[in-house]
Formats: sequence, structure tokens, C-alpha cells
Amino acid sequence: MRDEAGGDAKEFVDRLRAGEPKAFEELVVTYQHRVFGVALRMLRNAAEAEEVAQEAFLRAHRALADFRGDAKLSTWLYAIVSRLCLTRLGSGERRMARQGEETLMRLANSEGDPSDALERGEVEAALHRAIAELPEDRRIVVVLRDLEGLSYEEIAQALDLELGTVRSRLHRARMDLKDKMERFLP
Amino acid sequence: MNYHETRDWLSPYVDEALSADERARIDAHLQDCTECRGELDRFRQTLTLLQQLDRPRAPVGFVDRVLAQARPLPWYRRWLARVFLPLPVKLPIEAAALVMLSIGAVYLFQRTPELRQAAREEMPQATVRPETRTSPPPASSPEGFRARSAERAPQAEPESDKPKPQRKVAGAKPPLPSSEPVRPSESVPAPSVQAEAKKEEQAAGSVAAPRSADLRAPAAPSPASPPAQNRSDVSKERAQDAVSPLLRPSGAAKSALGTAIVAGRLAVKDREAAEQALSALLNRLKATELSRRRDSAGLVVEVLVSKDAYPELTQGLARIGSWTLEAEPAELPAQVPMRLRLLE
Repeated sequence: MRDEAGGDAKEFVDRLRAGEPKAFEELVVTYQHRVFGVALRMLRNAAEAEEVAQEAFLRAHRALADFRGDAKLSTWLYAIVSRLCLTRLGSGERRMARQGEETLMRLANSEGDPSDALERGEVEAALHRAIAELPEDRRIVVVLRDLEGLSYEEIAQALDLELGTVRSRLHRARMDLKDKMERFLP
Repeated sequence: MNYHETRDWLSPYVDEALSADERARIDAHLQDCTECRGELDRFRQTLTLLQQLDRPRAPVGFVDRVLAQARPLPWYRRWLARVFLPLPVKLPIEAAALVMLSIGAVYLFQRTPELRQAAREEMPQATVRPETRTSPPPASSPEGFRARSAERAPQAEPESDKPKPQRKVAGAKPPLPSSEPVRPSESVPAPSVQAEAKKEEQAAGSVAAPRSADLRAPAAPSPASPPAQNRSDVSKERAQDAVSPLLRPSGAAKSALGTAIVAGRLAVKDREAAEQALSALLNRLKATELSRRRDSAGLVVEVLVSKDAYPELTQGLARIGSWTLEAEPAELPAQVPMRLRLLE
């Protein structure tokens, strides 16, 4: 099933398209952290991120019967959650104030000792802040490329952009991050 | 290639997204430019930091919440949600629709004689026992009235007690056309013409009237009492009324049927001769004599005469004696129930 192997298993896609509940559960279990991660990086609020991630899976569930398999399942899910995030960010209806880095930091270090997390969190916090300060259209490209590992082509497919647009946005975003993180670099 | 051009190509260079020719040109520049090599190092370190960031994990229970929302609801819950949700919008609409439907149903029922007829047919019909009508009144006391009623109840109308609530519903008495108020005992239907009574009831808009009309056995109405009649006479007359099924109408029945009865006094000099003349007159006009009884005030005769023969009957009565009309409905039914009181 997993696209890590280079593509989705046809049998798994068929089970999903047939509406098999177990297959959908497998899909959610497999991609929950990735989808939630994209939402959190973009929205910088855990509650909103969960809401959007749930909505992304529900939309996928409703549209699974129409999934043609032109893109990988992961790319398809990234496309759904990315659009949901950009729509929400652009709608101006966000209920919660920016708590960006703090929420991200808490979640990023949730598995470790909180005091240890605070000690090693300065660089990380600066990086989170730098990501948060990126314009949304550049931030999503960095998130998909450098945090989620999508290829240029997959990003272009997910965001419905030209390849050249993806390259230029990614380059500008990375250079912004480098400039902001320069003082932390050796 | 200079420093600025190289900076623009760092991202695809690191991602190995350049053609071999482009990559070779950048490599050549990097060999000669320490500043660009430093820039490339910092660029790579930044990307390394990015890639080392911990991946956020979805909250505990996320999968269950997604699956719960994705799970199809049972059909009845989907149906209920479709019908009632959102409550603030759909509930008032549905309540209004229910009220409108109820009003429409009542309106339709009232405007459709067939429906009303069908409803009446479902009610138990009273059994008419004419012989009970002629029996004398028991007593003027309430105990005697109750005892007599109890005695008659199983014979004439076994369920006569049941429709009490209906009688109360239509308890309002419409005014009679007569200038004199008619006592409850006078508001008597002519049971032998149930269809006519029902028509009257429809006109009166009474729901309980049909039931009451059905309960009335065919008996002649008692004469209307003049206002000057003393209280003892009234009580006696009421006691007499209690005897006859015809003369025991409920309040609802009285109000509905009282509008259809003609009552009057016939003052005569020779009562025997007058009785014979009256019988002859009724025979000639093919009127139906429903009952004939005597009381302290005189002879009470209850008859049923066709509307066409009614004028001739009143003229004949005027020839027999001094005929005084005490009550007459505004509109006569096809079969006119009359109560005549012969006084000497």
C-alpha cells in the first residue's frame, strides 16, 4: 500500500475505493502524523491543525470512490490538507491568535522531558519562528519539501503549480530561513 | 557565473535538480569562490536543521475521532437528522405545518357531509321504544327522576351515560326565534327524523348534537310553558320530561334541536271534541302523532308534520280552538316536529 515503496498498492487503493472501513482506517493510521504535521506547520495551532487534519481525512473519505490513482495517495492527501490550510489562512476566519512557535515547540518536544526540551529548544524555536514568518505560499512549499520530503513534481502536483514556480518559491523560502538562522550557525 | 547567480542556483544545486551542464558551471565557480562555498555551507546547515526538526504527532485519539466522523450513521439517525436538523429552522416549520394540517383536517371534516355521516354511523344508535314514552312521569322529586332514568337506561339507550362529555362541549344554547325563552325540556329533537335533526345539527355547528339526536327516541315534544307558569308546574313538567326519552335531551341536544321545534297552546272549550277534531286534522294532513299524554295542565300531543302541511295544520288548529304559537324555528325542516298543549 505504502507509497514509500514507490507507489500505492493497487489492492489497497481498490479496497479504499470500494469503501472498505478497514482500509480507510489503515490510511488514517498511516498518514495521520504527516497530515497533522503539515496542518500544524501551516496553522501553528494544535486545535486548528487537528480540525483541519480531520477535515482532510473526511474529504478524502468522501472522495475515495473517485480517486483515480493518477497521483500517489500521500500526494493526494497532502494536496487536500494544503488547500484546506491555505483556504483557512486566506479566509481571515481564524479564531485563535498566533501561538505558533509555542504550540509547535510543545508538540515537537512532547515525547521528551519538558525541561530538557526548553534547554535545547532555542535553535529550534528560532527555526520555527523563521518558518512561521515566511509568507504562506512559500511556507507550504518548504514544509512539503524539507519537512515532508516531497519532490518538486509532487509539490507542483499537490499545489497545482508550475514546476518553475515551485523552484523559485522554495529557493526564496530557504534563503530567508538561512538569513534568519545565520547567527545560530557555526 | 558570479556570486549572485550562484546564490540563485543553490537550492536546486543542493537538491540535485540541475542538469549536468548547470551543475558543472556552479562547481567550477565554487572552486574559485570561498564566499560562495561558505554560503553553500550555511545553506546546507540550514536545511539540515530543518530536516532535523521533530515531526509533530497527531494527538491521541485522532484516528478514532476521524473514524467516528467518517462512519456512516444508521439510517434512522440519518433520517432524523435530515428531518429535524437544524432544529431552530426545521422545528418551527414543522410545527406550523402540523397546525395547518390540523386546521385543514377539521375544516375538511366540517365541510364534508359524507365524513360527518360516517363519523355518526360509528356511534351506537339509540333503540327506540315508543311504549316507554307514554308511561307517566314518576315523581317530581329528583330521586324519582334518577330512579326512573336508571330504570330506562338499559332499555332505551344502554350507553346513555357515556356521551356526557360531548353534551357539555356543546352546552351553549343558541337563542330561539321565539320571544320566549324555551326551557331545556322543550329543546327536543324529533328522533324519527334523525336525518333532519342531523341537518339541523350541522347548521348549528355542534359536534355533540348528532350524538344527542341519535339518543332521542321518537317522542313528541312537550309544550312550551308560558313565562307566567308557576314553579310547581315547571317542576312537574320537568319531571314529565324526564320520563320520555324525547324529553331528556342533554344541554347540547337541547340547544341544537330546540331550534327546530314548534310549540304552541290550543285553548278549547270542549277538550274531548277538540281531541277528536285534532285527530281528524292530523289524519287528513297525514301528520304522525308521536305521543299523547295528559298532565295537570292539560293534554300534550307531539306530532310530526311535513313542512308543506304545516300551514294548513296551524289553520286547522285555529279553527279547533284558540291557537297560540309559542315557539317556531326561523327555518322549518322538511318534517316539522310540533308540541301542542290542549288547555280547557
